[in-house]
Order: sequence, then C-alpha cells, then structure tokens
Amino acid sequence: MIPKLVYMLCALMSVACAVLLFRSYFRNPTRLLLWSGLCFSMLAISNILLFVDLALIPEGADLSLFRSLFTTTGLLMLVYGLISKPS
Amino acid sequence: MPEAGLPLEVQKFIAKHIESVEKLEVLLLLNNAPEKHWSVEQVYQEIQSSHSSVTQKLQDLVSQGFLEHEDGNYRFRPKSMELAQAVGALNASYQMRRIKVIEAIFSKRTDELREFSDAFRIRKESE
Repeated sequence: MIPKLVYMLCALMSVACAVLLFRSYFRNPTRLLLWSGLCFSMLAISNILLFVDLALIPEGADLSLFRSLFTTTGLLMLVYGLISKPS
Repeated sequence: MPEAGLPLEVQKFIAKHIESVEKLEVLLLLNNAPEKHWSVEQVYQEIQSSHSSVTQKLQDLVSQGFLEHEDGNYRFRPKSMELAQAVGALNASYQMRRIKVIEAIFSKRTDELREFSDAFRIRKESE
C-alpha cells in the first residue's frame, strides 16, 4: 500500500510541477520555462508508467525501458534549456 | 524586469542580442568606426579580453547580421536599417547611462532564473 502511494505521489508531483511551469510559460514565455516544463512532462509520464508498472500490473510487462527513455528525454530537454543560447 | 531610464527599444535589443559587456564593447567599437576593417588583433588591442573570446564575439555578431566578415577582417555593416538604428540607440544609451545598460545585460539571465523559481509559487506575492 505504501509503495503504491509513493509512486502515485511522485506522479502527481511531477504533473503539478509541469502544470506550474507551463502556467508561468504562457504568462511570460522564456526558454527556461518551456524546456523545464517539457522536462517535468516527461518525468510525469515516466512516473505514471512507474505507477502502472509496479502498482497496477506488477506481474505484467516490464515497462522499465520505456520509463528510462522518458526520464532520459526529459533530462536532456532540461540540459538543453539550461545551456543552449537563444538564436 | 525593465531597467528604468532606458528606452524600451534598447532594453529589447539588449535582451535579444547582447549577452555580455564584452560583446557590447566589440559591437560599439566597430560601430564607431564603420569604414574601418578590423582584424581580430586590432579588436583585441582595444578590448583586452582574450583572442578566442574576441573572435567568438565577432563571429556571433556576424551571424546576427551586425558585421561583415571579409578576408579575415570585420567591418560594421548591419543587414538592415532597423539594426543600424538600434545599435545607434544602444550607443547613445551607453554614453549617457552606462551603468543602466550594464545592469540590463546582467539582469537578463537573472530574470530567467527568477521566472523559473517564481513558477513554483502557488500564490503570487502582491507587489
């Protein structure tokens, strides 16, 4: 029960962060807000897949590769947003 | 956050094109002698930063359409009248309000980070 709750909270927190960042982006569009919002969106998907993988279908297919891909993509987006220069 | 005392066009120009004081100095140096063809060494002698940094700034300004690069030398040749006028306004502002222009350059990155941290405020503080 506790692990399922933790996974769900991780997913909810990631979604909340993505929502807050995109809310700020639509008010004042800066590149850092966009790329960090996209990062947290990817992390949210990864955490939702984590909840599905370990809590809903623990005996089903292994989604760890997909989770890792989303996490890696999100982190690359954040790094790009931090280091890239505007054109 | 806009810098009080600078024209809005100058603030926007700095936000879009000028990331450092060195780049500002290089741009205005060439702008003040538009007929001269500058080598990297000549610009370095005036700016006194580093050859690699001066070269990078000159190349950035070429790619942004402010300078022309020919036979290893650089010359102030903006691609449009709007760019030329914007540099003129920036030059005038820098002569009259040097500190404000420098503050505007450094506030740009700080503003991005402040926007990022403020995004996580659920309730915005009233000003």
